[in-house]
Amino acid sequence: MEPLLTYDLGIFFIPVEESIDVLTPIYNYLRKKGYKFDKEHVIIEGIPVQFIPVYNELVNEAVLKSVEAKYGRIKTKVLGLEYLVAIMIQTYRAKDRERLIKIFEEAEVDLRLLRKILKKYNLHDKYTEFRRRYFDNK
Amino acid sequence: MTINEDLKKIIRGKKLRRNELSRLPFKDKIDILIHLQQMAKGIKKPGKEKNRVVWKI
Repeated sequence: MEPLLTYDLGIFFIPVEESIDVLTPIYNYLRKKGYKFDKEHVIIEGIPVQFIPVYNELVNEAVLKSVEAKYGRIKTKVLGLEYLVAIMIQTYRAKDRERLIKIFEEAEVDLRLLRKILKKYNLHDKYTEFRRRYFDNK
Repeated sequence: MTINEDLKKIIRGKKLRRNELSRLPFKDKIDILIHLQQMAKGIKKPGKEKNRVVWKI
């Protein structure tokens, strides 16, 4: 997908132990380091960062199967495109639908993998409805 | 209203360009994002000012 304007960085993570408030230790650590907070964001070195604990099985699997990406010599991990599509099908907000349309127009989605994920998480009907509505099954 | 050939060519060109951009390496996409943030810096949007920062990386 072509780069789009955004300002915040979302970091999905799998908590090491189950707890009601998994964010507090992270926030406490960052507060001690002197980073400031703004609503749901922590401003880390000038970048508004949001930490998001995995909130269901699909997001958990997406994090486990995230793919390596490099920024110069720095290695990082990003969610795979097919998982990102499945998550957006699941959440299906107006901005998700907008991004889904762009993804299917611009990017090369591995449809076999996508269908496998959608089937596993019972999202195939929702995806079919999306395709019917915006792409007319083309 | 019909779309004439020139307009069709423009639409095709834009689609091609977006496809090219979508295939760029991760670093290049981040660099473009920062460039977009710089360009948008001067545009005022009420109520959404605070986190509209240009990433310093």
